[in-house]
Formats: sequence, C-alpha cells, structure tokens
Amino acid sequence: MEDLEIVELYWNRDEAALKETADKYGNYCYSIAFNILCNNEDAQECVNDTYLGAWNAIPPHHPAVLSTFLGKITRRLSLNRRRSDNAKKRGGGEITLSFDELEECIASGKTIDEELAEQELADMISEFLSTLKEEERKVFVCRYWYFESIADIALRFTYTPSKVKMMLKRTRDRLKDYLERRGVLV
Amino acid sequence: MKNEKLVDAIGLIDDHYIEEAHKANRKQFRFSWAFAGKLAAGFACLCLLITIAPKILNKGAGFGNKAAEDTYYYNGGSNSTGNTSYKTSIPSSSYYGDYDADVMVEDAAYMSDESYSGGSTSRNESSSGSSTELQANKKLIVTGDLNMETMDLDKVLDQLGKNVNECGGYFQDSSVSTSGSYRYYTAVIRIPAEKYADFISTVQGSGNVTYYHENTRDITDAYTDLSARLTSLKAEEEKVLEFYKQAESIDDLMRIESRLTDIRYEIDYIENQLKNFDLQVSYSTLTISIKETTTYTETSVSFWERLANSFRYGWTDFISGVEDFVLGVIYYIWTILLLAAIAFGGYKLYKKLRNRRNK
Repeated sequence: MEDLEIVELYWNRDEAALKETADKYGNYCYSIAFNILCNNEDAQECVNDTYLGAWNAIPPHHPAVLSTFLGKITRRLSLNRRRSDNAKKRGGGEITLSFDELEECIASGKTIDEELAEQELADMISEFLSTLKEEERKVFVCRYWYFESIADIALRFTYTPSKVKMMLKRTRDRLKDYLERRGVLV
Repeated sequence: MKNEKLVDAIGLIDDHYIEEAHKANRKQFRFSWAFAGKLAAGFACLCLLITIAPKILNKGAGFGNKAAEDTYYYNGGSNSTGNTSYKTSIPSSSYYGDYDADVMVEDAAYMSDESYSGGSTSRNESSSGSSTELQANKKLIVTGDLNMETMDLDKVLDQLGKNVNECGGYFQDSSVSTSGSYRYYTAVIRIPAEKYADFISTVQGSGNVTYYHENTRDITDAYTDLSARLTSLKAEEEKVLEFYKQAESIDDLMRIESRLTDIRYEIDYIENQLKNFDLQVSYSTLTISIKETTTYTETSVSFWERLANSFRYGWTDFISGVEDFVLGVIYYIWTILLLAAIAFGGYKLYKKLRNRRNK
C-alpha cells in the first residue's frame, strides 16, 4: 500500500492504518529503536508506542514521507526511554517515576525557547550536511540519526570500519568548526 | 547534556537527508584498488582453471576409464615378434556408452572371425588355407584409426614416410597443428591391403599406441550383385546391337539407339562403382594421429598406479596450463592494458564529474 493511502486511513481513523504501518515500516522502526535501546522488548514497546504516536499525530499532521515521520517518532521515543532508563540506573528511583508521571501532563518537556534553539541548531546541521559529499552525509546520518554501528555502516557502504571511523571523525571536526563559526558552543 | 542537545537537534534535520541515508543501498558498489586486485586475482584464477581444467579432466577421464578407452588397445611397443594382441578386457562400463560398446564388441568378433583371422598372415598364426581361399573371394574394405604419442615427432614422421613408400602406399591427407607447446600430426594413409597388417605392426612399434580401432566392411554381396548386373547389361547391349543392325525403319533405329544409350550409361556407372570398390578393397585406409608429448600415457589399471599417475600428470598439466596462461596473458597484454587505461580514465572522469555535481 502506498504511503498516501496509509495516511488516508489514519485520517479516516481506520485501525487498518496501524496494521499497514506495521507491515510496511515495522522492521524499519524496530531497527531504529533497537539501535538505540539494544533490547528486544524495549525496542518492540517503542515501536508499538510509535504506532500510537502516529495515530495521535495524524491528523492534524499530513506527513509527506511516512517513513521519516515514523522514524522520527521512534527515535524520539527510544531516546527518551534510554535517558529514562539511565536516570533510573543512576538512582532516580521514585523521583524519576514521579517526573515520568508528570511528564504526561505537559505537551513537551522543553520550553518554547529551548525548542526554537533546538530547531535552529537542527537547521544549522542541515545546512552543514548540505556542504558534505553525499557519501559522507549518508554515513553521518546513518551513524548519528539511525545510530547504526560502525560495522553495519562499513558493510552497507563496503568500506572498511577504520575508513568509516576516520570519515566520521573528520565530519565531526568540521561540524565543530562550522558550529563554532556560527557562534554555537556545543 | 551538550551531547543530548546535539542528538536531539540531529533528530530534526531535513527529512530529505534521513530518507537519503535510509535508501543507501547495502553492498553498493564502490571502486577500490583492493576490489580491483581481488577481481583481477579472481579472473586470473578463473582463466587458470579454464586453461587447466580440461587437461586435468581429460587426464582424469583417461585414467578413470582407461580400460574402456583402450578397448582396441595395442600392447604398445612390444612387437618384437611381429605378433600383436588386442587387450581382451572390454568392460561393461564403457566410456563410449552401451550402444557403442556393443557395436565394438560385435566388430571385434567380426574382425576376429573374418578379417583378422584370414586377412593378415602376420598377425594371427591361426590363419588356415580355407580361410585364405575364402578371403580371396571376399571383398573387404579395411579402415583403421590409430592414435599414438611420441617424444620425437620428427623422427617418427620421417620413419612413417619411409614405411609408406616401402609398402607402396600414399598419403591422402596430412596436417600438423600446434597446441600449446606440443604438436599434433594427423594423416589419412592408403596402404595396399595385403601390406596393411605389416604396416600397422611397424608403425605401432615407433611410438606409444594409445588407441587402435579397425573396421572391416564386407562388400562381397554388393560387389557380386553389381558384377552380375554388369554382365547382364553387357549381354543386353550385344543383343540390342544385333537388333540395331537388323533395323529397317528410322523409328526402330531411334528407339534402339535410345535404349542403347541407357544401357551404356548404366554400364559406365556400374563399372565406375566397381573400380571404386576395387580401389577401396585393394588399398586400406588408416587414419593416424600422433601427439608429441614429454611423458607417455601409462596403460596401468591398478588404483594406486592410477592415483600416482594422476598426481604426476596433474602436476605436468598444471605447469603446462600455467605456461599457457602466461603466454595467453602476454599475448593479450596490449588489449588488457588498453582496457585498463580506458576503465581507469572513465572512473577518474566519473569521479570528477560527481565531485563537481556535489559542489
């Protein structure tokens, strides 16, 4: 089924949209979640949460590229879950749990200023990515958006792992210079 | 926290880049010298294999089916007494398939009974007076195929020429070809039938015979029929001539002349055919193939001997194959260099254009 048809199902509040999404993008979302969480059950839960998130977000959203839309949700949920897990390990205990409970009451954990700053930073990174060679850009996105392992990237692009590492190192250095020149101190 | 900010910001980059990375093909081809080296090595191995495999397989097949191949095999080089002997073992698992095996067995029996026993005085001591008489009345066309190998082709060819001249035969066709570092000689020789057996005995002593097959075709019936037909036609011709002399009208003359023409045409045709038969009967045909080699093919059939020979000949053929491969590469070196230069130039141009487009 085409993406537009699936989105149409979401808009019609047809539950078949969830099944179609799972069939078409289940593995895609799972791979993103698993790259971040490294745990089968957690990744599966995040994927299910992704479907729920998509169900809640469409409408009002009308994503042009459904895969990217779903990927972004999965990525955000997985990162949040990982941070939450890490906080618990550091001894967050009940405080963390209570924060988690309260988190449901607000739209986002970030202020508008923070969100704007984040979006501004994202735009800069997008601009920086446009200056890169196609291969460098793909490798960078695979590593820092999809969180793929060096070995997987090397396999995907038929590079040696050391070449991938070197490519990423150079790209990071250039990103650092780029952001510093723009006055962003990360 | 700084990392988290960056990670979150990366999460918001343009969808286009996310999609682009997602669609990056797995195992996408990327040129590299390492890859080119592996490709070249693989190609070289393949060429080597193609060059060597047939030789090894042929050799293996030869050893694996040696007995079958040598159904008509002479005991090479052991002809001091002038008597030759066929190997009697004709295995059921014939290299030539069941049908051929049957035919060969039949032929062998036939030759033994008629051609071999009676036809050649030097080959079989059981030749008797009655069989000689029978042979005298029979019209037999003998053809043979002889494959042999030698280490000194020039000497063997020289000897072969002398033998052919001595027995009054002639070369109908002959050629020498070169394959790798070896030469192959093939010839079709016509030998007077009565000297055929002696000739074969002499020739097979000059090298290592790997295969021999003799076929005898009995054309006595066909020859007798044609002869009878000829006699009858000649008698008819005489009668028609008598009628011709007694003819009184032009019509009769025309009809008789027409019939006479037909009869004479048929007589000519039959006489030519009989002459051709006579030539084939009086001169046996031998197709001989001589291979120049450095090592003779063993006729041993024991497993361990075959195993040892397989190793030995495998190595010889491997070396020969390597030599052929090197010569082949050198032969095509300019083509290879040209193609490599074009490929390299094309790759560089493609890379340059791609970089320019990315900028």
